[in-house]
Amino acid sequence: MVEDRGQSKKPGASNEAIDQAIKPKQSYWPIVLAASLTLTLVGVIMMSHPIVFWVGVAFVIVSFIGWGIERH
Amino acid sequence: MATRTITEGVSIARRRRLSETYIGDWIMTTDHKKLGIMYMVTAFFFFLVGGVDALLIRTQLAQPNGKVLSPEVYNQIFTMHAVTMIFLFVMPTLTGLGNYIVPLMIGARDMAFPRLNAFGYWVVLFGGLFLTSSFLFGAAPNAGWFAYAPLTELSGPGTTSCGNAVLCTPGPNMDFWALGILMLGISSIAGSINFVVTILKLRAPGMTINRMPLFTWMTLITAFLLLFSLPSVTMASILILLDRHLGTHFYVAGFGGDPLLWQHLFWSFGHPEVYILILPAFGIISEVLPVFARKPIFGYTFIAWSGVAIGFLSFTVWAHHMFAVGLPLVAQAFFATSTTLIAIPTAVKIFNWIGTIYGGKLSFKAPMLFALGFIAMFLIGGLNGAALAIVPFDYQVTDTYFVVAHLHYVLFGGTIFGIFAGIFYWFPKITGKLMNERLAQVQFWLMLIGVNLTFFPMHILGLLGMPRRIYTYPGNLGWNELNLIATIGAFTLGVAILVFIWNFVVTLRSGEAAGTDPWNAFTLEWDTDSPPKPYNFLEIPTVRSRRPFYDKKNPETADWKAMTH
Repeated sequence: MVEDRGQSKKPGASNEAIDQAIKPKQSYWPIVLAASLTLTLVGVIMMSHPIVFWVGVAFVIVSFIGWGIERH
Repeated sequence: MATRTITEGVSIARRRRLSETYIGDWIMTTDHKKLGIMYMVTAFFFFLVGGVDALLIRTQLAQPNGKVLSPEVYNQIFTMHAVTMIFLFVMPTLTGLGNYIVPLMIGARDMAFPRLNAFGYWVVLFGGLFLTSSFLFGAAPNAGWFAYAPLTELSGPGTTSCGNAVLCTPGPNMDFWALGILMLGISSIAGSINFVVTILKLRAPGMTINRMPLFTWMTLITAFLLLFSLPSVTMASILILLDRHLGTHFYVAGFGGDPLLWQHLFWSFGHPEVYILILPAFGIISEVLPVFARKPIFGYTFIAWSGVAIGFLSFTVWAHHMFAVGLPLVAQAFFATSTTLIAIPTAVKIFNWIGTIYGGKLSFKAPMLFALGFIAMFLIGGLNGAALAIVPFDYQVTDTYFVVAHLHYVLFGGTIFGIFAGIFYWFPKITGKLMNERLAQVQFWLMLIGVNLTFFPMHILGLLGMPRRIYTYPGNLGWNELNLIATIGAFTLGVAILVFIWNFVVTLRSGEAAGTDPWNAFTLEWDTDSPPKPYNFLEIPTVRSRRPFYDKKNPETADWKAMTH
């Protein structure tokens, strides 16, 4: 959750420094989790090839773990 | 010494991380403004897809005995037109606008959960591609956007096959629908949780609930509506998937199931959904009108709380979609009454908007034109909606083109006009450039003419008995000219959208610089750069009234000096 309410600019801090301090960190886990979820549902459509579904599920689990342990 | 030189050289030659590339920056972003833009661009792409679907439908129906499309493809096209426009254009556009504007409006630096925000966007993109890719397999959803069971069952009652394919849907078409809706529902829930927490917890100091901008109010109500309405359609979709693939019979009467269960589950989502699509547009209009009338909004409290009333009442009206199924009389009376009741808070809003422009110094720039167009078109859609609440009348026109006319006056004449009002209003904030006003006005008039040419004749077609979703019709029913007019109107709308695209491209290439506050506006999003810096505000502003930026620009006549709220 975004917590830094940044009520005022610190003395001497540049705008770029504030940008870095306040801006939420980038992350690739959202796109990975969304793609994994899509793969899982594609697997549901392609039930004749259940491997697609299970690979999707595995990626979903990995994505959850990666998201959870990502440092911020 | 030599070693040190090599080390430095290696350091300089370091490959850039993905996040440091242009593409990577967008892929990995969690910035609400970038995600807002991504939502809107994606949604506009799907708007074009859904628009092409619409033109194909109208081309097929332009003349009697049309054979532009096959019946099978026609079913897929009209289903995907609705699914695309509702779930992949209107909802993501409003989410995108909310994403970009709401944190700025309330003086926040981002949404409460930035990664969840990014996840919501990517699910919409992938879910949209998943749904649309069904065309590649010749298996796009084909049972209408509300996917009535048992038509959507995999096999016919008491059989393992679909027989003549009239009673069920044997291909994966409706699997695409159910799974796609599940995905988009996940995105909507993620987005809604984010909006609720952001709006309730991250407002600037002094911005009490009763000082929130009305667009923020309506976004908050919409988020709650989504949270409470999505579970029923999610459950309905899971049950139909179980019916189709695991042998259950939730919707099959012959096995103790109930086809009407689907309709109850779907419409208890589907009618709040209509307000999910229109409430943010109400919010946009409530922001645009005061600025272009140079007055505070008239009846702020009534507009805000009538939105809450609409939200509550929207959960009590779902079965007016089902009058024709044979509901008990008491249920018909209840749902007719509740549907009529919901017209009251809606009318309160229209009254307050007219009160806002009454006596104002009106400026007829593009956002204002679209806002006024919204009021007029939505009023028509609302009135014929109230007519549909009258049960005997509904019996006569249910599932006819009268209903198609009603929903398009609400969703095109209403929501899409509202969306364009918002786009023209906030485009300078998002891009730093003013859109070409002349092209915008051409677009507005083409759209106003196009909407009425397309959808007004549909009222008459419905009264003449033309069923919705019909593939073609014989030439001796008196429908020919009206259908041709509707098709001409649809292509007029297509031209209007091309004008918008041209305006968009020209503006991005050589548009006039907008400055931070081109409209002399009242709310906080204009109190920052255009486009805003990543951190939005260098210092979080303190709010003392409903028009904080007006107060800042006009300290002598600041609202808080005469504050009653």
